[in-house]
Amino acid sequence: MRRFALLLALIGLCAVPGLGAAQGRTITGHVFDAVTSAPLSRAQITLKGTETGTLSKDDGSFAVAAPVGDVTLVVHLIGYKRREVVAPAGQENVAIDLERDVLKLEAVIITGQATGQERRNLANAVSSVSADQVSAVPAQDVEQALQGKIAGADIEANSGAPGGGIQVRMRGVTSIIGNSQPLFVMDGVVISNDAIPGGTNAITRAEGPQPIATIEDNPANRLADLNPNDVESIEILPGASASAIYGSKASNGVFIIKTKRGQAGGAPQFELSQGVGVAEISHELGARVFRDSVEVDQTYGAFGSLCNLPGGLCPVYNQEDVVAGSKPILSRTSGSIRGGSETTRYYVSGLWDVEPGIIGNTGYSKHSLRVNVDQLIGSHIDLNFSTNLVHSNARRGLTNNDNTGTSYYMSLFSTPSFVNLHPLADGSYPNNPFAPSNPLQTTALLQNETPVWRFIGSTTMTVNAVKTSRHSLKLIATAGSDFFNQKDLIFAPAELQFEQASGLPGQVILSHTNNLNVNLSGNLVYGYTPASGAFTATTSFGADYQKRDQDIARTSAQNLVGDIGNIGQGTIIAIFEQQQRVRDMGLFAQEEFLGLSERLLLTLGVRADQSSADADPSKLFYYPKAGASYRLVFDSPALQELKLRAAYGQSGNEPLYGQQFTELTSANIGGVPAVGLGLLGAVPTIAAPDLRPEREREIEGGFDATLFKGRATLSVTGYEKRISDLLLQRSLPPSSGFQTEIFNGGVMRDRGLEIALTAVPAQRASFQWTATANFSMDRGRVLSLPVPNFFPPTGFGVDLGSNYIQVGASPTQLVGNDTLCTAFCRVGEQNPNFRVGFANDVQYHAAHLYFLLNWQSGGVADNLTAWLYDLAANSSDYATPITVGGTTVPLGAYRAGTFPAETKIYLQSTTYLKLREVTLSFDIPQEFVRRFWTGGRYARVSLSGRNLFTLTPYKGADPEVSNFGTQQIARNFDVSPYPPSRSFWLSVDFGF
Amino acid sequence: MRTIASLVAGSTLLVLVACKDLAVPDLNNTSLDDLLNHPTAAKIANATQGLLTGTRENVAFYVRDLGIFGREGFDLEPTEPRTVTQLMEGPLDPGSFGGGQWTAAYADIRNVNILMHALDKDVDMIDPDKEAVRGFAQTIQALDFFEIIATRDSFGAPIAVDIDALGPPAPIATRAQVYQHILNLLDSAVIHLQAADAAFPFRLSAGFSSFATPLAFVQLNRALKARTEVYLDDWANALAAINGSFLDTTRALSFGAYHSYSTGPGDEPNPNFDPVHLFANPELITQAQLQTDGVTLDQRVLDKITPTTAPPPIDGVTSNQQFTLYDAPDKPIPLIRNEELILLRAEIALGQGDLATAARFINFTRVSAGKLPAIATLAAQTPDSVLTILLYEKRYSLVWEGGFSWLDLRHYSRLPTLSRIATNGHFYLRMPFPTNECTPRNPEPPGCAFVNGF
Repeated sequence: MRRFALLLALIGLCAVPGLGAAQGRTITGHVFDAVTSAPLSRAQITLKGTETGTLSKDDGSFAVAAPVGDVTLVVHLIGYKRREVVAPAGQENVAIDLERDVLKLEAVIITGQATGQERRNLANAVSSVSADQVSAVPAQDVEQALQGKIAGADIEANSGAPGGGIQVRMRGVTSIIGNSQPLFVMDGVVISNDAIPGGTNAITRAEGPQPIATIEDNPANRLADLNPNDVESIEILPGASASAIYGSKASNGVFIIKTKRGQAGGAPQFELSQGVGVAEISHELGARVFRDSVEVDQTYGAFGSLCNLPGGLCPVYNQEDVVAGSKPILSRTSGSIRGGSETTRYYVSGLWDVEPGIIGNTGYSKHSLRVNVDQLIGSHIDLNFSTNLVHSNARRGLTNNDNTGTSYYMSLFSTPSFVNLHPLADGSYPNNPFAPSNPLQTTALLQNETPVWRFIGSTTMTVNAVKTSRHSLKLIATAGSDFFNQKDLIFAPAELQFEQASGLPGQVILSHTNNLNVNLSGNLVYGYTPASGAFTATTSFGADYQKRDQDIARTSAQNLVGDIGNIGQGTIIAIFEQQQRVRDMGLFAQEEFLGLSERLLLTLGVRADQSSADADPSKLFYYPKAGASYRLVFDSPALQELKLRAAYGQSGNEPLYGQQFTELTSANIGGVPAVGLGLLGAVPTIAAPDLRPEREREIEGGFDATLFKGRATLSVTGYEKRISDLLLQRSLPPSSGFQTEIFNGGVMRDRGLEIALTAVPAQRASFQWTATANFSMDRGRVLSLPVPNFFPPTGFGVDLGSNYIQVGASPTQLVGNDTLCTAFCRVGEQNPNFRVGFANDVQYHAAHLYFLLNWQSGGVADNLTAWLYDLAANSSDYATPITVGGTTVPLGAYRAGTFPAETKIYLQSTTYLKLREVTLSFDIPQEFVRRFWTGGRYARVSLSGRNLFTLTPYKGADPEVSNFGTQQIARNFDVSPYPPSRSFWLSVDFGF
Repeated sequence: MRTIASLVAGSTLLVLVACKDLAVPDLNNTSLDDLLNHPTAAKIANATQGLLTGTRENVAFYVRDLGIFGREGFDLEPTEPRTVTQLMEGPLDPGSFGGGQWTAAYADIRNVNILMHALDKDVDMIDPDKEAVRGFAQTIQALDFFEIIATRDSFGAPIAVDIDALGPPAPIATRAQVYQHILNLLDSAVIHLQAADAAFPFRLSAGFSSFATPLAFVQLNRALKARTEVYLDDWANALAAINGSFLDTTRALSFGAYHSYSTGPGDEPNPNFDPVHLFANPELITQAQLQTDGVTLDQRVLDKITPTTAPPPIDGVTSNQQFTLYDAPDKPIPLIRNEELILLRAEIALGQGDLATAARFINFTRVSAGKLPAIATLAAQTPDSVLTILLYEKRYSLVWEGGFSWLDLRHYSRLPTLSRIATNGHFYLRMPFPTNECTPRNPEPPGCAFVNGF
């Protein structure tokens, strides 16, 4: 209450009149780039110690009213180093050159819900990615554009399917069965990143006949809806020491996305970009080539007659190439307008992205419209409106594990190359004698589409209630919502081989998901600087409220009367609905102290959270944090500045909706209602009566050095996280009637090291070269468990390789059968030894080359696809002879025969080196541009590529793979995934 | 500035008010606590039907897996070759298929215990109705335990499972103790059923229409007891039980109790309706006896099996024959029926050395079910050869209905009379416990390791 009184008192200070600008002279001048001498527009020029200021115009010129005596101009421009220029009395004209802040030392990084600090002072290792970095090479979604760019972030695709499906792990494994994804906050709104399965399980039965949809459906996570071009910056708070202020949703890390906004001054700026590209499969698995009918009969006991070439030789059909060998034309059109006046600024952008997939009848399209408007009301109130309307449609086909032989590769693996599956003269497809489906027919006829309509809107009101040289008080209130409807329609027409064989031909699965996130938050920020200017203290506190409502309704219809994709045509109907409702409330307070000539930063904060997802929704959980950094300044050519920093913090990961309930399942037999445990394949689960959020305690320390006259920075960070009260789903002895319990307990640790190096070896007008490298490694270990070691819920069983949560071992270890142990033992580790990202950006006159290499060393994936090919005697290297114990057998037969007694035979290294991004662009000279259009600002032609090559010993489609979708630990199971593709782009960008 | 002050005050108030209650209900399912602590007659009725649904969870896979062990049929899934490599070749892995036929049965056993506890609460039901539910529930629980011990046999199984699910696991009881527990449950159920009124206080699904009163249900209970006693070689008690059952040679062989399935929403289609993957062992054709005309196959083969296209073999296993027993998703799976009782009656007689009675019931089945010639000299044959004939009849009468080939051939140590079929085919005597049943037990009891066939 005392605090509140203090606040009101502070608000009372608003009555104090601000400093008015004195009468006097007008200073004119112009702002330009120190290296290229290009004029710089929109630089903010203020008189030091006052609020008086202006913006530079398109030609870099400005004019500002100033008092008669000596004044100091402070010049600010995002992306450039701040400069202070003295204009002595009498000097009416100044030329101001600004140096690029290539190392981003002065970028302001968010440290609280409503506060920020310059990077050079920060007590945490916070990565920040700028618009240029995000949109270097066209990406379907934002996560893809971040791969390899952030130390400590493991960003890995689940498959090559179009339209997303990417897992982000920050600083190792932070949860076993809790929410596995970081928190994404865009313009103050927590946006949904759910991955909602579409219902292919009804066809693939990957997890049995129930339910309609499962995690093996290869869903995309909804972050895919964002337009990467709209991103102004992304800041990544990797662990609790930085993210504590986000409380019980932050232990997987927090991504704070700011979108582009309008700029005051000058004419509106238009940008238009047209890209045309082509994609192709980057790795075909191949299949065995059979010589003649004798070999076929030996292998399959029959079917030799299919080798009908002279001499009984076998024809060779590349079925995989027909399925996944398309080289689709990609097209992406985007444009934006930025502009505004001192009081009203706007940013409007649009995207029209059409990217067909390498598998026929698949692909992704996205249409996005964003309108961001900022309005200044009087001198105190700033309103920011952000709206984004997105329509996307992912057509991801039918991939991943299945038990019906219907998905493309689940049919391809058993289909030998001598079978002709091409359509007959009448257009119908022959039945595949080797599998329940003809993959060519499935590719051509099966529909699986996920159209999404989404609207994200937010309003932020900032009231600068007080702003004097000593006091400032800001009230910041944000209200926002994120609504989407995801429709999933899967239509398997009756004509399909597997539909005919099912006896119930034709199937439609229709799902509708409505999701609404609503955020309300209020913050008060009070800044105090004593008259001496010795320090700045920033006090902030606030509250927020969030609700998340989701409703998934699914219907599956079989035995279609009319062969059209309408559930009303079915005679056999299954219905399923799943709802979620979560209400969260948080309170937080933070104090930041910046003193000793801005060399020392101290931060203290605490957040208290309560949530309906906890067993006790009225209980508050507290998450404190503290951090300190100190900058040492040196006067040596090699080292200019060394910042030592340390931070500690706690954060949480609240239970998922439903985990807090012990439920019975409702069912019926012939309409007679029934209720009980474990009906219709449900897993009987007990919820612990004290279910609560996981708690992460993180301590990190490190240093940032500015080297070689500001030409390089080196940042080294070590951290240790301890995650206690883990949400665990332990297996109960099934004789109890229950299979699992959801409870809190145990401790897991992550230790890691991150190194980021940025260097500017050359910075001249004609030649600029920036190189960045990041290195990260993380080691996880389960320190204690309140229960016996257990298998996590997701997996295929020990014989095929499984994760195993075991005290003293890594949570990502794989166990399996082996000759060296009686039951099962450790056979591999999924977590790689380290990851490296290495980017170079070279500009020579008008030419510009950029590339990003991503190297991962170590880790294994469980290549069960290879096992299936071997079982079907159909691997490309199956017949290669191998001598084991004196007998010569085919290699594939040896592998399949050794497995699953030795699980490790199909574990393969996931070491890779990928050329993630490469761009070669050429700026067309401005005179040339203006010759065609006087309003033209720039024109650029680029050739770029994504994932152009992958060097890896991994034999499957891609070492980035996750059959179970977005998972932190049960990743790296390779079961007939959508193959990866590489894409080439030719883009033309105009600015006017 | 007053506006701001009131804004701040207002939002603080809002926070404090909203903080009070964030609780949300379970929007998807009913809760266990509600049934346990606030039972009503309607909830009890739903939970009673839940027992049938629960026991049905396991049945199709019990029929399928045991049918594969007894080489009645095959499950040929190129994408799940373990139905051959593990179920036919081995070893049985406690971490995957070997640990099957366990979890769903014990979930249903827990359902019975939950229901029994709920009945002890203050429910709006008269005592005879509570007795009817208890008798029904214990009978179903006995059936669940039978499926457990049938697959684990000499490894035993836990029976004292009405304990805190989060505490230490129930100890493993011996095979004899489990069987005794089943018999006790069945006998106790009869006492409860006899204390009930004329009608059940709940509806039963179509498959139980012949046993829809407590009195009729006692006959079903006795039939299950007779089956259990036969596997214990306790012929006298088996005879007593079967005499109280619905055995009736004047009724249809199909008369009995069934697990119903349907394609309606919330119901389950018969999982063994799977024409793509499930096949009959072609040796059922080649080993079938001929009808009186000397040409036509055993009528039971004609009724239950039809030719189909053979898929590519998995480790040498393929078939061009398919079962027609479950040729639609709403075909029921028998729980126990008259034809089995008639053969059990023959088996009891054989066990008691009454070859004449055994021969009478065997020949009755041969003629009425298989349209085969009666064997006039049967009563004069050795007990061993009568047993051979009886096992043939049981195999063909009950094929793909409940793993009886495996259970019977194991019972009489005759599994090797079957063909192994798969390249590296083996036979099993029992399945291991699932890994999760073993993990919390120290030391691990026998039955936790891989089970090798022979």
